[in-house]
Amino acid sequence: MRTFLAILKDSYKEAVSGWILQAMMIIAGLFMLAVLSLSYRHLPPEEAISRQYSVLNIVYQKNPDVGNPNFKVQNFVQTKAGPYWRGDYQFDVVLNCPDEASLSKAKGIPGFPTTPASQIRLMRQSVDFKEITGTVAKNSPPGELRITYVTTDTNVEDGLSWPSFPTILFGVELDFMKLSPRSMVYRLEKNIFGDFGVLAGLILSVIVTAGFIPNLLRKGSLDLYVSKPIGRVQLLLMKYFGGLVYVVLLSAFTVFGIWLVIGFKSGIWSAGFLLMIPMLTFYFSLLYAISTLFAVLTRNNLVAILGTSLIWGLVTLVGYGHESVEGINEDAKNQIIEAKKMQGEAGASEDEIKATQPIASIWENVLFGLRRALPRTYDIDKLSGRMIAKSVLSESEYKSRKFDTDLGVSWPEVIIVSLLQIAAMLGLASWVMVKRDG
Amino acid sequence: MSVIEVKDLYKAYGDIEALKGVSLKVEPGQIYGLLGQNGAGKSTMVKILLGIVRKTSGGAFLLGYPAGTTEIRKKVGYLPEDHAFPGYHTGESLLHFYGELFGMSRPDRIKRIAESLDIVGLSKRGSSKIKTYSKGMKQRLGIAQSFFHDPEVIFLDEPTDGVDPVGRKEIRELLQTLKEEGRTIFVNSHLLAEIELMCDRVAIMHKGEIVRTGTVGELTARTERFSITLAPGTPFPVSEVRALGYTVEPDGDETHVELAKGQSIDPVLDYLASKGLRLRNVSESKQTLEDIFMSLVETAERGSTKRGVRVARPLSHGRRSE
Repeated sequence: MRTFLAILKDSYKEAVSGWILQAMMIIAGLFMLAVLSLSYRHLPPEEAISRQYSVLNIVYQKNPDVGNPNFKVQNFVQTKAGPYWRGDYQFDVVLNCPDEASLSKAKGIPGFPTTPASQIRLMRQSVDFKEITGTVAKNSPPGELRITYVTTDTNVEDGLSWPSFPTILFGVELDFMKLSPRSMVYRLEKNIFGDFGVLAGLILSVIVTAGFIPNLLRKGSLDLYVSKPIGRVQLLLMKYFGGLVYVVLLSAFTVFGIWLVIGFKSGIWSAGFLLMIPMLTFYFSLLYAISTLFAVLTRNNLVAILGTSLIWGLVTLVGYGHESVEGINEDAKNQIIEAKKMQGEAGASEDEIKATQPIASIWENVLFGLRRALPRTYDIDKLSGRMIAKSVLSESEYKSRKFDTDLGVSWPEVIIVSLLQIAAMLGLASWVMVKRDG
Repeated sequence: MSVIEVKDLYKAYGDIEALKGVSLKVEPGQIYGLLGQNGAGKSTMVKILLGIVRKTSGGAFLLGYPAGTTEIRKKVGYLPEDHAFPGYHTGESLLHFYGELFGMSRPDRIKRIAESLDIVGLSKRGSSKIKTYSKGMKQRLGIAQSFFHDPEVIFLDEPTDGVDPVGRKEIRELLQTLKEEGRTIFVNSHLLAEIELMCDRVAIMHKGEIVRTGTVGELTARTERFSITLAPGTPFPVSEVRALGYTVEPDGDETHVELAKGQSIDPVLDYLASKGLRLRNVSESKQTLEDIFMSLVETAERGSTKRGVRVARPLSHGRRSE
């Protein structure tokens, strides 16, 4: 144990001896500061609905056939006190046209919302009212259509799921970006940090740690280590774990810091995001096993970096390719089934489905096999995205983004297969190390 | 029990024979020098003893146990020839790291590291990064790391490499101190004068073979030799002196007279005086280890040439371990 800790400590010294770790921590710190400057403003329901109609007004204003139809929201009243998402409301949506003839023309435009049902569909895109009824007012002046709506409650679970505008730099409102605070946090944690930040962090980590094993194996260094009372396999494995220290340090600092800032600012303490620390370490342990194998085989850090990047890129390409091919064929299958149903048939036969597949199933199977056999970094990425979404988004948001669909892979499978792959790569590297003379 | 025992040790790297049946014994408390040209096989032998390189055949034992086991390495210190210490460590932190690998306790490490750095003259630079050290300082640190954990046997491969003359003297004194503490020291070097000054016993290795072993005194002991210079223009009576039973070797103005065992130079001098030959200079020439080494190497080369097969591999051929 003492030896293990000594080598971990040594790896830590090696990791912090360069400037990259410190630079990355500074960048992470700046990112945290940027997150600290973020906030949001809940969109009042009246404003939310008015903005929806404003867009329509802009679209149809120049339409000469209907003579500048203009929607307005009037007489907006909250009839039951409480936060926006628990309120009951009454309001009028008024459509004004220059004359009755224009109004009639407007009613004839396909998709133009001139009925309570079509307007309710439109308004639910802004505020998901639980119950809403609309009554067309009688005796409106010529060219005017007035519908009075009465709503009860909303399907929004809480304030963090309520449509809002983000503000950046301590108050600059981005009023073109309507999002719930949960969606904002998801975008921060998954899209900005999880995709770009993690990718950059992992690439730099691969570069920095790729030198650890070649440095150990270089002339004049290995003799010093091997002459100490420590076995070669033990030495290699400890150095491997030492390399992981780098990523543990970096991810712990960055993820925990961002988690803390986001939680403090939004009240969303997402456990799924915090799990990114072990997840990133696990992800990197796969990459570092590849790097270690290349390093032991060639004693060259450049080869280790290129080899690891090549396999990593291939895995991503195969994963993306497989998903795309699967998606294209699935769409084609659904289309043929739908078409058959429209023709009054029960569905399409297997042969019919195969015949209409844009990409031959052999390719799908090849990609599937490769995806299963290669290191599972792509699957880890997909699963961790779901993990973050699950702990950040509300249930309805999670479903609306189709995150409740089957990914075809599970954590236990990915973990077990990855551990076996790591063991195989390190086993081979250890064997080479033991067999090496000198 | 010998501290180091090597029996008929062979090592081949493919077709290249690095060691060709080497045998030697090192007794406790000795400073043992292994002398040889670059590529002679010195480092290969030490690396086999430490388990860094695998032997092809033969026996290698350390402290009575098969060489190279993890357990036996706890009792061994080693300074490799081309050592590369990680530049991100300071002298102190490196020794702490190595001390932890040797299983030393923290208080023990603190005490021994301070002492060792003081001994090698690095106490003031112990907290500096190694990347700021000069070559000589790295060598001193290398020596410190070879003995700070209190080993029974220490292997030093070219220990004075890159060290200035004052530092070399200090290293020699340090090795003497370590020896007095009861440790066995095995020194690999191609610096003949260093070996001559510091070692109790010496083995001379050439092309993977031990060609001579003995104490420095034994190796340099030989029949006495005198150089005689007569007055200018006076020929030396070579045949007459040879007739007295001496080996005579004219060398320009000088003449070397070699004495067989039990002979004295006096009869020669008496003879010259009786013939009225005027002496300008008479001096006794001493044989150095270098003379012996060169002579052995030349003899070995001649022998190799005669045997043909054994010179198949040139000295510089292939091996990079030295």
